[in-house]
This record gives sequence, C-alpha cells and structure tokens, in this order.
Amino acid sequence: MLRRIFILATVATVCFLTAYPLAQQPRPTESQVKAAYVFNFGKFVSWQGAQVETQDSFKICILGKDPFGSVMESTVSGEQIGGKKITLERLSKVPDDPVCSVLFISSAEEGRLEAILAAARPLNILTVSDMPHFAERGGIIGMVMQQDRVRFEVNRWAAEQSRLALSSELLKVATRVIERPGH
Amino acid sequence: MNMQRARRWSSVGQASVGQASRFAFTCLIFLTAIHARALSDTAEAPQNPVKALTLEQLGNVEVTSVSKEPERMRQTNAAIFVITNDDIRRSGVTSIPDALRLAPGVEVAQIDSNKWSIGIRGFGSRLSRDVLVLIDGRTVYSTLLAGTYWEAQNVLLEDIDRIEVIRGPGGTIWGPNAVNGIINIITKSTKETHGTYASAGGGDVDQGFLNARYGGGNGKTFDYRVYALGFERGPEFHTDGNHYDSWRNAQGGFRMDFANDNHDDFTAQGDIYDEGAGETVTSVTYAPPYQQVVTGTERLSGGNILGRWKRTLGYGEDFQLQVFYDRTNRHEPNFADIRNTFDIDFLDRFRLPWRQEVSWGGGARFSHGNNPTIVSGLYFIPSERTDQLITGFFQDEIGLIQNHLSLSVGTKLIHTNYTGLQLEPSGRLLWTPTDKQTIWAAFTHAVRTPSAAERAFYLSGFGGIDPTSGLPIFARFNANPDFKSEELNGYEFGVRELLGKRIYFDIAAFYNHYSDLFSEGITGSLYIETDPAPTHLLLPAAFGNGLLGTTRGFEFAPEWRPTNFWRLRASYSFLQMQLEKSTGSLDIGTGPITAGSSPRHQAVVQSGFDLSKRFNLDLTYRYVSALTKLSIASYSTADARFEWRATQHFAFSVVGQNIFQPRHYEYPSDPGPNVGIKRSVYGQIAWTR
Repeated sequence: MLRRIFILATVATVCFLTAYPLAQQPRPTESQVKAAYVFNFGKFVSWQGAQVETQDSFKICILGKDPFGSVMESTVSGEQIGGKKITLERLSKVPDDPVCSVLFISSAEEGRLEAILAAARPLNILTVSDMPHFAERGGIIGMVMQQDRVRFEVNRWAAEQSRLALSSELLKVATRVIERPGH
Repeated sequence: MNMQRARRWSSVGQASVGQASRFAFTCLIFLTAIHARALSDTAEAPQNPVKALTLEQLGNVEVTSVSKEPERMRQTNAAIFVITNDDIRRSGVTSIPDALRLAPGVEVAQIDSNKWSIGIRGFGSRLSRDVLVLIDGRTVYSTLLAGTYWEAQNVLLEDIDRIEVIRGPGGTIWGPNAVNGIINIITKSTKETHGTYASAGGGDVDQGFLNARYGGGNGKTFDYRVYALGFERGPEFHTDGNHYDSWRNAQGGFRMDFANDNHDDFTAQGDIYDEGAGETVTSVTYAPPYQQVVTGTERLSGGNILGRWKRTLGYGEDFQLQVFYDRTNRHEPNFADIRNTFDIDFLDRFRLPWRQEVSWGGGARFSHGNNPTIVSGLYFIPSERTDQLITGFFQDEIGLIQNHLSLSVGTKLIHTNYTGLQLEPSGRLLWTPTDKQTIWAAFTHAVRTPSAAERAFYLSGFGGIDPTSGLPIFARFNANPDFKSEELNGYEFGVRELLGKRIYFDIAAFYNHYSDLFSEGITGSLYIETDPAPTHLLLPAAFGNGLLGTTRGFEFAPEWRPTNFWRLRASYSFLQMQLEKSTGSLDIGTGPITAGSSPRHQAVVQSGFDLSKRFNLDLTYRYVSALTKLSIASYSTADARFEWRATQHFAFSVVGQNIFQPRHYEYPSDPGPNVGIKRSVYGQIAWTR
C-alpha cells in the first residue's frame, strides 16, 4: 500500500512541479552569476595604458571554448562601461594588439595558461577565469566556487604587471588577495 | 472561497475514482504542455537577472550548477563519488553510515540502532576492516580490532563540506588498510561557516537532537567556529522485547583557520565526546556460569586535537605538516580499550620538467592501547601494547600528452610493529580525449596490516559440558604470531562522460585478486587446560591467512538534470565474490560466509525537486539483494524529505525513513534475534543567521 502511495506521490509531485515553477524564479545558474561578475569587474578596474582610450567600445573577449553560451550576450546587451558600449568577441588566441579590455580565459585553455598569461601581460588586459588556481598561477581575477556561491580571488601583482589599478572595493570583496608572481 | 468554487470542489469529491484519475491525467498533460511552452519562452529571455547586483551581493547568490560534482571529479583517475553537504541535508539522514548509502559500491547494512556493517566492493563488516576512514585528515581506523567504530564517529552534518568515497584500493596515497576503499570526510573551512546555526528535532527513532554552531572571523586571516551536538536515538524493533540498543551522545568541538601573506595556512581543530550505546554481548568466563548474554551499555568517550600547517610555494607546489592526538575510552560489558594515538605526517609536492608533478611524504603513528580483562574469555596478551606505523610514499604524475593523457606511478612503503617493510605500488592512467569524457585504468597493490585482533587477541566460546568428565568445553581463538598482511592486486577501469549539459554518467569496473585473507581454523585437538582456572577442556583455534579469492563487478551511476529544479540520480552496483581455501588452509567455513555476506545487487534512485525557492522535496529509493549466507532477505525501501524554508532564517523539514514497510532486516544481530529496522519519521527546525 505504502509503495503505491509513494508512486502516487511521485506522480503528483511531477504534475505539481510542471505547473509550479511557472510562477517561481529558480535560482540563478552558475553561468549567469559568473557572466555578471565578468561584466561588473570592468567597473572596478582602471586601465592605465593609453590604448584603451582609443577604442570606441569596451570589448570583452572570450578566449577558447565559450562556457557562457548566450548568457554573456544577455548580460552585456545594452550596457556601457566608462561611457562605452560593451561588445563581445570570441577568440582562439591572444590578440597581438590590446583590442580587448577584459579577457575571459576558458578553463579548456588550462594547459597553455602560462603562455596565454605571458602574452596578455604586456597588453593592459584584465584577465579573468574560473579555472582552478587561476589567480595563484598569475591570472588577475580568478572566480572560485564556495558553498554554492561564486566568489573571486585577486592577484594584485599580476594586475600591476598589466598596468591595471584595482579599486579598493574590489580588493575588499575578494576572498583572497595575492601579492606575488604566479608559478 | 466563494460559493461557486466550493460547489465545484464538492462535485470533484463526489466523482468516481476513475473520473478523478482521468481528470488528474488530463491536468498532467495540460500542465506539461503549458510548461513546455514556458520553457521555450524563457529560453529567449533577454536579460541576465543578476547582472545589476553589486560584487558583494553576487558573492552571496546561491547558484544552481549543472553537473557541478561531475566537474570536480571529472579528471580523477579513480572510482570516486562525492557526497556533498547538500546531498546529506536533502537526503534527511542523521548519521554518517546512512549518508554512505548514497554512494555506489558501498554496502551499508544497519545492525541495530547504533551499529552498522559497512563495506566497499564486498567484505562488509561491523568494523569495516578493509576501508580506511579519515575525518579532516585524521585516521579513525583503529589498529586494535582492525577497523572503524562507526558509532564513535559523529560529525555535525551541517558542517561537512563533502564525503569523498573512493572505491578500490588506495594504498599508495592513503596508506595501509585502504584495501577496498577510502572514506574521506571533509568539513567546511571556517571561512564558510560564519554566523549561527541551530537545529532541533525529533521523532520516533531519532527521538531528539540538538545541533548548534557559531562561527566568525574576518574571512581572510583568521576564522573560527565552535559547535555542540547532542542526540538520543531510540531502539529499533526487537521481537523478544529486549530494547537494548538506544544511543545517546553529547559532543563539542572547534576549528580555527589562520592564513598569512598568501603562503601559510594553519588549521587547529578538536572534538570531545561522551556517549552511551546499548548493546548485547556474549560474555564467556572459564568459571560458571560459562556463558551469559549480557545487556549493557558501551561507554564511549574521548577527544582529539589536530594541527596542520600548509605552505604554498606556487601552483602545484606546497608543503604540509600535520599532527594529531586522539584519546579513545571504550568500556563494553565484556571488553575495554583505553587508547592514546599520536600521529605525524608530512606531504610535499613539486613540479618537474615534462609536466611532472611529484608528491612525496612520510608519517609515523604510535597508538598505545590498554585492554584490561573484564571477562576471562576475552583477553589480550600483552594487555598493554604500542602499535607503530611508519610510512613513506612517492608518486609522480606525468603529463604524457598535455591535457589529454597522464600517468601516475608511485608506491607506499610501510613498516609496522607486526610486519617488515612492505610496498604498495600503483600505476594509474588517465585519458581525457575531450573535456567531457574521461577514461581511466589502474593497477594497485594494497595490504591490510595485521592488528592486535590477530596478533594479541584471545577469544573464547563456550561449547557445553562434556558428559563423561563433567568439564566445560571451550574453543578459543588464540593469538597468531604468524598472521601476515592480507594482500590485494586490484585492476580497475572507468569511464565518465557528460552528455550535453544535463546528463552525466560514471561507470567503473573492477577485478580484485586477494591472497592471505583472514580465515578461522582449528589448530589442534581437544585437551585439558588448567590455566586459566578452573580446569576445562579446550579446543584450540586461531585466525590465519588461509583464504584467497576474487571479487569482480561494476558500478553504474548516471545523473540527469531534466530542468534546473529537478535532479535525478541513480546507481546500480554489481558484485560477485569468490573465496576459497588456500593450500594447507585450516579454514572452517569463513570463506563462503564472507562471500555470502555482501549483496550481489544494489540500486539507489534519488529525486530532488526544488518545488520553488522555499520548498524542496527529496525522494530516495533503494534496493539491496539478499545476503544469502546470513539469511537476510532482499529488501527495497524509500526515504522522503520535505523542506520548507519559511524565512531567510528558518527552515522546517519532515523526514520519513524506510517508509515501505513497518520494519525490515538488513544484517544479523549476534547474540539475540535479528533487529528490525523500523519505519520512522522525524521533524526538524533549523535556524541560521
């Protein structure tokens, strides 16, 4: 008998469920929060190289396999940073010129991270990634998962190398601030 | 409710069952259609709902991560399964053994209210002899009787970050006794436990429990927490009315984490506990009444303190030093153990050219036990001993093809007071053709080192009165100074794959070859013994290494997230054990019993619904096939949990356990009739701030 009740309860729940979420907003996804971070970081960094001034848009580049799908578009569409419209570009290698303000490095690129960071460092680019130990390895902002929440770590040494000034608010919220070269 | 609606409801009430079910079915189809439409609408939703939040707010958003655990385990060259904090909470379990039921390949059978038999890939037993158990790096495997006293391992479940269950031998990294698997319980960092948590609840078996934790700190250089817990668990079902197995515990502890200028992390933590667990034991004495079944209470108390220092030298380069001290007092009606264990371990990792990651380390453990004789039929000679374990290990992980193929080779070196130098080598190959697919294979050699249970233990049984001489007859397992390590050669293979974003599966298959396995044999014929007095007839016996055999099987664990708010997980575990006597073995039947004490088939299906932000419903179904040699029938049962997060601070939940039948049997009880595991229910209120 209880077995039957159990099965019925399951069926009823499925039925209930299919209707219920219509009214309810589920939790945001990890991608949505990460994309929101990538977009927001731009507001807390000042680019001290001259090149960025010459660009007419604020470009966020995604290097390697894009984990965001359309989420990044839905995050930046219609948004501005520093009075400039945000544009997105997907890249397969680090650009030679500093066309990007923010470079999100896909975790699929983990194996060649050292080479990517070395190429990006002279370019006055904010490097961001969600791969493990990113800030420890010399990236500027690494997003990490803690208890179902997305947090971030900052490598201030790496930011200085790329002539970026990080705002005190960004440093305050960071779960960890690293002050030394990566390895 | 207006009149019209009320009338409509009452008419539904009067309709026949057939009509009602047709109505429900129509409702289902209709709602499904609406929902499908809604999904396609939301797919085009142009705005990211969280993009306007501040950095601080973003850091506090709880996210749904599609197949997060698989991501974490993806690149592991072993059969690992991670039980997360969320899994524990949502399954409604109240003990670590019950939480372990969620992992494939683990056989958990509840003996009574406070005891379990647990094994991985076979060889389940009350003390889980072949499984190494660690809590935050502290080994809780006891060298006294070889294994883990599960009832003494309690952790505030809310503070567990995850339980990593590694199936298969893990000797090289984890050390001796990790023969069939490792259970690694890891608590959260104190950075993640700021604030107050308190929960209280009770029901018919879990009669009452209280948990409290307070944590604070600056989130960077110094964080801490303190906790206290207490519970009272009632007896399970007893046909003879002897409700001996109630269980109570009071426990407290702390953890502190310090960090400085990015290089050093220090952790200090400790626990103390005092518990009483009811049991019946057979008490054998050489003087009359010779044999009695005694109902009493296991008095358990103790504490531990652990310190760890980790210095990070760079990516993949660090050094770690850990020391711990553990005190255990165990007083049972027929036996006692007062034990002090001191352990020191270090681990160093560095990188070498050609993508090599080298780990090496060493450790020493001294465990001093005092076992005063309580009844004359159970004693240790010597009654005070210090067990020593010295280990060293080396492992090199070589990236053969960058990001795609790596090989780990290494070995552990072990020296104990009972054995000479022993090696536990392994080789593991990991191939990741794409970032969604992992294929691995491994060969491992592992040993279970002898313990006082074989080398210093004398255990007697009473056989009756000899009619001709009138003397009592006893059989006694004498300590065997020649008992060797049990050995295993394990061959494993596994595949993990993420299909799209929502389906994930993990398959692992194994073939294990064991030798020198534990056996029980008669070593001589009946003779008259005068010491211990009084004079009696004795049949001498001993534990030996007289068995060998194989286990083979596989575990299949798929996971499917049809939507963001619904998660389905399942596992199926198949196991085949064959044990036989080795040449010259005196074994009197341990082999077939051991082989027939593990289920051949096990299945678990879990469904987790987020009905909304405030309501969760979790259902867990499990099936375990018969334990043929123990006369335990197969069973299937289910647990259900409903949670309502009423406010930001309060959550209420109701949990039903083993709900299919009033009681079922999972494992035999000795002595006395088997204990039925009851259907039970409890409610809980949790407060966080």
